[in-house]
Amino acid sequence: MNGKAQKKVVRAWIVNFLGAVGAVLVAEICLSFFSSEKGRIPVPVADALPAIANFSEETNKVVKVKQFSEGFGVAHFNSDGSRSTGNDLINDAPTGLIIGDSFVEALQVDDRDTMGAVIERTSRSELWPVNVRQFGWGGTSSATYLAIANSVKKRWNPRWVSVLFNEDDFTEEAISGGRFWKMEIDPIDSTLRTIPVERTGSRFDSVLSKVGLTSGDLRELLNHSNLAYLAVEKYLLSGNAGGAESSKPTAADKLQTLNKAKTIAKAVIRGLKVAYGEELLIVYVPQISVTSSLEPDTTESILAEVCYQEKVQFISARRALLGLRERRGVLGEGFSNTLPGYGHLNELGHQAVGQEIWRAVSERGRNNQ
Amino acid sequence: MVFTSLAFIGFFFTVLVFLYLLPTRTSRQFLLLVASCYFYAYWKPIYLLLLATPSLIDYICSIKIEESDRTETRFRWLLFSLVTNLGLLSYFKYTNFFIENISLLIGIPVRHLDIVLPVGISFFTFKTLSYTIDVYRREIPASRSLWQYAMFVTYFPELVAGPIVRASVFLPQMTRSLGFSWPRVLIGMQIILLGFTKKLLIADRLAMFVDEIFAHPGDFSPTTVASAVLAYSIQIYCDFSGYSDIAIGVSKIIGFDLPENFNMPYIATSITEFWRRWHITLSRWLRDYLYVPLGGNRKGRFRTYTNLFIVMLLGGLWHGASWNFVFWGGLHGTALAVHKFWREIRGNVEKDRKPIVRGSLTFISWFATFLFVTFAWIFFRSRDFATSKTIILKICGVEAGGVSWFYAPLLWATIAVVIGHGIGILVARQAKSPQSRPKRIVPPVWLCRSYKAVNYRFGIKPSVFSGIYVLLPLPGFTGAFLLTLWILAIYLFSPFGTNPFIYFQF
Repeated sequence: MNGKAQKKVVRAWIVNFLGAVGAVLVAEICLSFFSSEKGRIPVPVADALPAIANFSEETNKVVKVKQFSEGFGVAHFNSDGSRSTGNDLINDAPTGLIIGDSFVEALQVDDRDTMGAVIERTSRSELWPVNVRQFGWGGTSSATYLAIANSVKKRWNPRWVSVLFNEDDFTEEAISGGRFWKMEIDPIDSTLRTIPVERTGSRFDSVLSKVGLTSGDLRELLNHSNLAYLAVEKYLLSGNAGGAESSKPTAADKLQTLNKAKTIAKAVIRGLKVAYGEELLIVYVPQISVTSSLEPDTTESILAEVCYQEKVQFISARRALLGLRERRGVLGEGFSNTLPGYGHLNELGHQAVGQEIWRAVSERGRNNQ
Repeated sequence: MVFTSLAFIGFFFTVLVFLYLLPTRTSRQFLLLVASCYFYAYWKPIYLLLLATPSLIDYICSIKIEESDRTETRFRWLLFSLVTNLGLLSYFKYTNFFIENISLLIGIPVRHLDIVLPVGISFFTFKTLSYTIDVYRREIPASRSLWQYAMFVTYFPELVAGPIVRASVFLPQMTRSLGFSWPRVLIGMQIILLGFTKKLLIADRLAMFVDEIFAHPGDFSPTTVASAVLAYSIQIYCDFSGYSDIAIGVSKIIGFDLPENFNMPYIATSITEFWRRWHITLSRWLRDYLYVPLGGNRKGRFRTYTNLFIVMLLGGLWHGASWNFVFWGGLHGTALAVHKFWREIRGNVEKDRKPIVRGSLTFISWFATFLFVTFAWIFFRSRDFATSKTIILKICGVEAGGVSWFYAPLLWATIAVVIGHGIGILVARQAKSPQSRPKRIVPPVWLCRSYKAVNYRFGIKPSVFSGIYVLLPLPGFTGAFLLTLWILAIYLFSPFGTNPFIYFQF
């Protein structure tokens, strides 16, 4: 190859390279419209508890988060990590708390569609106004709800506290594998001890660590790139999706899991009762698909039984969510880009659950008057 | 090993690296043979024996057929080959179906046999059958090289789900060097990406929705069920043509050209045209090895219609051991016969009509064809007739109620498929001469010119199109830009996990 031809080849490769770089830049810009730094949501780690306890509207900095994997939602979070309801605060109105995981974080729906927003609107229309603070973080467990109890109670002095649970909330993994906090159950007296999980620094430090990037400029660069974040996250999630098949549980395994779930549920409800007192309301949100019936699932039955024994108010959103399906032909879970009835609560689901919570707490309020 | 899995991508790259490192054509062919065996054994090593046994029998039979001048002897060897191939296919695919039906007839429950259907058995059986029949018909010489014959049978890109390649197409390509070629890599890579796009971004997304609705059609509203049927129509096209694209692209990079299998079937304006565009290699196989031997259209009208019906009925049964598939085949056979009858009594009156009337009729024909094909897919996808019945009652509005669900990916997929087909039609029109309808899509002249302008400058001259595939202008800024965006989109927006291709079950 002579010099001229060589130059042409080099030029061709440079042009190709520039084309590829241009595409990456365009992708980065496009993705910035659809995603944002989910990691900027204030999290309830041990160091942040004083900030939750001393939250002030004056110094509040709102964080905006967008997501498009389940529907398309724009969410706003306060600096104490609570999800905005999009409604104005009413001075002197009592406060209710909703605590839970990603179902309360509710990234999938807009602020005014969250269950807290529904409760505020309903209560105000009934001339019995309340302000609702919603504390939810994806991947958290009961340990986190216990860990933040003192802080939120101190700051908000709530009239009622709703804690949301789902089907998988009383497994061994939910107890030991939660974000921010995990817990241990004393085998003798079934008391709980919350333990902080090692704090992660940046928005996807844990993701980067899994692929071996623990320090350096590249890590910093990736930390600010939506494209890189999505790419790495996708890689890791794909790996998990294609993981080894788990063996089918035997009858003995099932019994053991059931007994374990009972023990965990008992300890959790006791712990929450001690932490939040008489104001506690346990809310169960089942997954309602097209084939679901009124028959409660195992977790629901366990939770209802334990709450009854511990004298804690319990409601299930099953009837409300089934009502949506039977009366209106819609499902309260799932979005236009997910399967029918699978995933998080959509705006109709939030509405149904919100109204159920309000019905329970308003009834309790009337009874107490 | 599914084409869209990381395991396959790793396997393919390893094969390519060794292929380009090896010095001679023979060593490369040997590598491909070993790789193909590994690819097949990845599912279940024992099934390699199943692949080897009929192949060896066919190899011997074909030589015996060629060596003999006596018709009787030649026919006996052919019969031996046919019985072996079809016997194995029948045992693995239809034994339980047979038992089930006998059991229903006599009213005594009979236990099913524990038979696992070997992957791709329907495809490689048809491939080897065509080889022996072609030798019998003296259309091709029998391969004297067991080595080359084994490679033809086991060639991994098309081993498990086609395209069904005939020996007359494949064996002459054995003289190719199989060395590295930039143009082939650039073309092959784009065809693979097209396949990945169809499979991962469209078919797999729609599969989740379709599976859910077809599992409980009675629980969903009529519009939701109808949208699921439409979704399946798109899913099966993107799934199977996506698989074919990947097979063709992979093969292109290795150095072999496989026949095209899909040519925008949903633009067909008649059922006959649909089968010229859908699963082309199977349609041609059925035509050459079933329809023609049955008499084709040479024995009068009634026999022609009957032959069409029989061929499609058997084609349906080939897809799967279920009455649903048979019924689906029967529907298509009836439609083909009716269309043939209609064409014969109507003659060619198209040219006398005004363009607006002709356009409207073309649209109506297209719509009716698409509607029929989509309707027939209900039987193809449903697990039984009861499910098909529920779906049809729902769609017809006889059974109302149920959950309404709008599935946004269906809208995107429909738009993508419509745009893709639109581009295809525009490009095909460009080359359409008044006398004849082009069989292959040729890109517009401006695209060829601009592409050549860029390409010739860099000394790499792949065609701007490869068969029916329209390609990006590579190398160049625009090409690299679009290609990178394309790869990123596939990676980021494909669903998690790997779904097997629909046609793997056949």
